[in-house]
Amino acid sequence: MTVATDARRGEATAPTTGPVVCQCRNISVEFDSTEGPRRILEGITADLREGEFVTIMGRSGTGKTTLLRVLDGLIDPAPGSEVRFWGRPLDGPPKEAVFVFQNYAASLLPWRTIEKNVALGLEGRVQSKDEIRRRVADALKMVGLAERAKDYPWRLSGGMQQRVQLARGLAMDASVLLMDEPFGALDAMTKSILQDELQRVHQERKPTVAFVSHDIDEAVYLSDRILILGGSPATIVREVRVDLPRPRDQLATKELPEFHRLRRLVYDEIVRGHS
Amino acid sequence: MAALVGVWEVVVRSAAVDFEFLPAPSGIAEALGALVSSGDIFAPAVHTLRSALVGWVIAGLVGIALGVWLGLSNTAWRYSMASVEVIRAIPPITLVPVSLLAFGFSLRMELVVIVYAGAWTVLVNTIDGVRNLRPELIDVGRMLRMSQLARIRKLILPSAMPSIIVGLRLAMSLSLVLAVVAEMIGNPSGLGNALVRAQQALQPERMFAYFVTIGVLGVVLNTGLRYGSERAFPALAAGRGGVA
Amino acid sequence: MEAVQAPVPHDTAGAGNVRPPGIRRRTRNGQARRTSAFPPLRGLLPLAGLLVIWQLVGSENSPYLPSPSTWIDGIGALWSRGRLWPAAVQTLSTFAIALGVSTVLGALLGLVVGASAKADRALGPTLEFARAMPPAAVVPIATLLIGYDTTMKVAVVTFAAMWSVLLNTRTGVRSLDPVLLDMARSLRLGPIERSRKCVLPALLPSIFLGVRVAAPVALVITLLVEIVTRVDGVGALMATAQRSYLAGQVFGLILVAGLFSFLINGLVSVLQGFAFRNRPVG
Repeated sequence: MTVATDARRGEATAPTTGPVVCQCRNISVEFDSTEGPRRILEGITADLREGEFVTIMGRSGTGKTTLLRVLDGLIDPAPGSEVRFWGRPLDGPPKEAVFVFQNYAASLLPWRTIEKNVALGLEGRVQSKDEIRRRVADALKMVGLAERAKDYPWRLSGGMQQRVQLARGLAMDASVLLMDEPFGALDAMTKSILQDELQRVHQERKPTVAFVSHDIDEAVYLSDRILILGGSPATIVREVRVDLPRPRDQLATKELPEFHRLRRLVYDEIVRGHS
Repeated sequence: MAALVGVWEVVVRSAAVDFEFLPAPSGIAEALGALVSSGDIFAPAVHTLRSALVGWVIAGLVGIALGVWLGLSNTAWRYSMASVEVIRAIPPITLVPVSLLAFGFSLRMELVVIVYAGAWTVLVNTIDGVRNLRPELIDVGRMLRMSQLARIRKLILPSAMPSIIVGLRLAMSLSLVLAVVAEMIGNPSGLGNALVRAQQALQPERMFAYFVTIGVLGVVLNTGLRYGSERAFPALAAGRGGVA
Repeated sequence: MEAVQAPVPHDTAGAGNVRPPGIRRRTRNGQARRTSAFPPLRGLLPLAGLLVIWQLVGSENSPYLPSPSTWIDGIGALWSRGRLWPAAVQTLSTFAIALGVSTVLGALLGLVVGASAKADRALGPTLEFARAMPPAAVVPIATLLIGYDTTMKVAVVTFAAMWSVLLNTRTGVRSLDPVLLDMARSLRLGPIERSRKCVLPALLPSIFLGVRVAAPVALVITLLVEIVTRVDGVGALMATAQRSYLAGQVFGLILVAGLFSFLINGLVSVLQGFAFRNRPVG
């Protein structure tokens, strides 16, 4: 039922279904530091297919967030790198993509209500006020925050604030979600609830998701594929296919022997650094 | 508070502590009452209030306008901020003799000092607010591909509001202080002047009465400003950010 | 590797809790240090230009715009007559004494009010009211009660400057981790040892922050008192020069005041860097 492709250091092998949404070729990133220029990422090559849920994992500091930001055009990679969305090279943040930040509190505008925060992404693109209102209402209903529409962010819990970010992306009808450890700062219960929300959204709307996480359980639970980064500068050291049946359940799926096998595989790779 | 006042009353009445010119609170209250009923208190109070407010408004407008410009325009900032920092180091109080020299005993002298000091405060705080957009919000702006204009209107200016308000509040207390000082040595009207005259006439009760009035004025202005800013920007009331 | 701008309200009136401005930078051993960020020097051009124009346009005798050269002359005159130095000493010593008293008084009161909720409630409104008093208004009262001397000056300046120390100490006491005191008790430290080794060092950053904000206030109020009462010091010289219509001298003395301000701020920064070299401040 499952195939863990053992592509060692270098390329991630292309999955077998659907058109390619995002192509990364030879992505390298260099930062200036007090000790001189430092290579963070080296030669990352991967494809994201439409509707896929891909999690990027690795130890702290391996540049997972950096890679995600490169995908969204927030960081310029070193020359020789190439990122394409639907064949088009990147020219700033792609219109079809939405970035969900780890620090949810800081990425919401405190002076706007929840519904106006969600509307932020639409204001430049959609002209009709009614259209904006409709899409915002739909998005809020989808994440279960319809009654809090007129509240200000500070009145919401962490989990709710994170959902607002999600709603922002949904309202924009984003076909690509780039999520940077979105549930990392939440407690375990809230995390499980939001994971399932995300899963539900993914089932219904089928966006392509690139998800950064530290949590192995979360990665195996949510993904179709896991890319593991390692080394310094970091490369893709392993790609793991996750073919667990969907829809997945917090209790049932996590009891499957296959789940445990995959968990161990990923754990070994990251923690023990088997290469 | 009541306890302190009570102790004060007892101490003075019992002559346990004998400062020749320290009046008892009851005496002060009496004097204050007399001033109110005779209407003597209103003219100077209104004068001080008006000077402080007018000066503050002008200072605010100038400070915000310049501050937004210097905050948004990197070139302008680079070519002027150092000068701002240097001039800022000069305490506004020292401008009082200059203003006195240039404008003599007049209302203009008072206003010049107030506007000068207030404008710098508002300016510096506005620049600070405009230039310090949270990095996460910078990212959001880029991620949503916002135009420069949209970024300014929707992200930078609203985010700068708390700092601007802080600047305005500081400028308000500064305005009141400088109004009183200016009146004490330069402009023969207002509460500052009344205070000094009572002191020179060796009338401690009246002097303290004016003193209390100034304090009340300060509290009223500050509270009024705080209330007004929280009504206008409800998000501020959420305890967002550290406000001085 | 990262430079993060710390957004901060600039408190030119020097009242209340304010974080010192600056850019946080990571030194080689990874310690975060606050350095004073001075904007690019080319920003001095407008100032320099202004001075040049002023020199050319201003006349010797104008009360509004005495040319910068007269400023130097004015200072020179005071210096050669031996009046500038004593005045500077008077101003700075008043400042120093008052700052010291403010620190001690402010810290003690802050400690009391921070530690005891009852005391806080009882004294709170009075302190709020006193804090909001414009120091200038206190001057006539002080002169009436104390007279025209240095004691009066110190009293007024202390009254104005101690609030910052008081409030910051109060905040510091309130945010003292109760675990600290529990730990000290479980180690069987006596009350004096506890205060000396645990409480005081823990409060030091807050107190220092208060002092840091209080210092410019103290300087300004010292000058203010001197200008208004003309007891002694640089402020008195300023008032005298103003009455004698020596505009250049007034401006020159303003420069002297600015110099004091600059020096004091620098001294406080250095002190902070030294005293807190091993830990972050406020």
